[in-house]
Amino acid sequence: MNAARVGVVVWMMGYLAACGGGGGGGDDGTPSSPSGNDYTPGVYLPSSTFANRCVAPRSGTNPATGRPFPDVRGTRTDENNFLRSWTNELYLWYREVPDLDPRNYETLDYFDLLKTTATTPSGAPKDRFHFTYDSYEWYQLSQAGVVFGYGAQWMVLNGTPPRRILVAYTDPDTPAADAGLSRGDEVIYIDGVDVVYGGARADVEAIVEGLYPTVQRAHTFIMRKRTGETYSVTLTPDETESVPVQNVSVIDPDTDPVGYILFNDHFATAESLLVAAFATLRDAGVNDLVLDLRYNGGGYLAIASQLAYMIAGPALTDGQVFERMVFNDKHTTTNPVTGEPLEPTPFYSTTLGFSHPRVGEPLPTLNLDRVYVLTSNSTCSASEAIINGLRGVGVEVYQIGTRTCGKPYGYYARDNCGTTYFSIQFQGKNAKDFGDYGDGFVPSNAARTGDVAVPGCEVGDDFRYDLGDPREARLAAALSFRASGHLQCPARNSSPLYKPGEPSAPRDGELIRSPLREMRILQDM
Amino acid sequence: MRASLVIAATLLASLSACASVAEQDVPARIVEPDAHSRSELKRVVSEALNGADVTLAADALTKSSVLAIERKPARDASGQLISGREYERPEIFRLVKRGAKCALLHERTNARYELTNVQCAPLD
Repeated sequence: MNAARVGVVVWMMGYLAACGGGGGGGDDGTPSSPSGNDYTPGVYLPSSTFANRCVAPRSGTNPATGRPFPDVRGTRTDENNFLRSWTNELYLWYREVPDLDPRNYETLDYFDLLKTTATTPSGAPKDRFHFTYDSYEWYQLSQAGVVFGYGAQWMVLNGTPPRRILVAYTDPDTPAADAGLSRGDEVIYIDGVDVVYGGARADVEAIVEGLYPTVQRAHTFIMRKRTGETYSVTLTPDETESVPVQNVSVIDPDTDPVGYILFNDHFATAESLLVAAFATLRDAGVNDLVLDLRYNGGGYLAIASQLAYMIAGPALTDGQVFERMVFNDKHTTTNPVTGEPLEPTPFYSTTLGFSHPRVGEPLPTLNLDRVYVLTSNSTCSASEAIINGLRGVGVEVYQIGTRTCGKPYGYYARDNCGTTYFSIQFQGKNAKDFGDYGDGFVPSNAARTGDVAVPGCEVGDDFRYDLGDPREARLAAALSFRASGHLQCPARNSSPLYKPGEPSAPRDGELIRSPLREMRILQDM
Repeated sequence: MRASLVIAATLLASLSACASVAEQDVPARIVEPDAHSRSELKRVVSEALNGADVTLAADALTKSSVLAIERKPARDASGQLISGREYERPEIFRLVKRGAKCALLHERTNARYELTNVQCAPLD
């Protein structure tokens, strides 16, 4: 017996001894947890007491650690007690969580209740980000940006008949791009199923499988182009690579150059693409930048920090905080998950090697004290951190588009017994100690009382033009707002109304990306 | 005699330097990928990451010497990323060529994996 095995046996014996050696019956027929099933309101044992005590312990190797799963036989109440204590230790608003008897609930139902029921100034739930995920799926890895699909991002403007599902954009060198799909094209039929009016459950299932395929099988699409003509195309899904930075261009390069960057995802591959993009715009001598974040739901915060630095440059950011994590009042100096001191994220001024071939190379900068950001309800999390981080160091951010998603929060995923839990643990705050944008950032001409208003204009998405085309409504509004000295917005609701044959929307749809398998958005009658 | 020695020493030093350069790792990319090379690459990356299930593109490492591995994007019912504020660092692998051999370097562990079914060329 080697030392490691001896150690494990000793640890297990010690554990059993400390916990009384088990025995008795649990609430679901399994042996009761050594810690017992007692519940005392207001008393929370350490979550470690209950961790990994599972109704169905896993065997084998945990891919996250390379070590055997730590699971041992436990009860439903053990799993619930773990969640109760863990929430009390780490949940950002733990004081607002009801103390419910863990013996009375199924585990996933219990978790759903372990959150605040408070609301934001707009009346929306304060916590809209409370999730579980199958741990097996959570542990799956992929090359950065590689997903199974066609390489088309679908925008669901209307999920019920008459449905409107359009192409938001495509990634280059993918089945969708190679087949000629482009922004604004509308899906009419998939494999003979009427996407617009199909009302049966089977129709919805066929549409979902067609849009978000799970197996490598060809699907035939009838599409309608922006010009109204229809065409047929057969698409076979594959592992496709998203290109997170696209359409980098200089508008009006000869007289008043303005840079444009479409930034869709904070994947690791974005680092090298952003470095190249900013070097191009720097060399072009742009006077301003329009950063298109309308479809960017976040990702690596470090990349958000690099991007913010490349916009503002060293003069405004040197020694400043990009974002700092604020946990609940039990954890003011130490990160309770990593055990490390709570240090803020700075404005990173060099490459980090996420995809750039070298580490520590100075980033190109535009040294701007203002930036125009295009947004929608899909602009979320690390993308919002860019807005907040820049505002924190005095960069004037102008917002064109619609309200952002409102997620100044984050969490460390926690696997227990095969379910990975996401429960808000910290808030991100900028150099001015601001992070209260749970209702999102809102263009000032659309802001209501209590909103975090950002100077700018509310403008709907516009599928008549490609992203980066100066005629596209949001980009056009940014340019005209700039030209007016930040005084004039397009009249609200002046965006071309969405109607058949003219795919433009004065509001946001739902950007639904593969491989989502939910049917919440697409519904039958 | 002294001049001859200096010349000889210089030549030896030059030869030594050439050999040293020839034995250095240089960033590389995969050329002519096929089923065998893809299979080996996937196996090695998975092995380096505790046997995790890893998805790679068919053209992985054919355009770049850097391979970033991250979690498959997990999304909520509305399509938003569940973890839109990611603090972890991606797992970074770098493809290098030394002499005629291709190898994959795992940044976090400094492990080196010789690839026998992969053809690679120095990055342009």
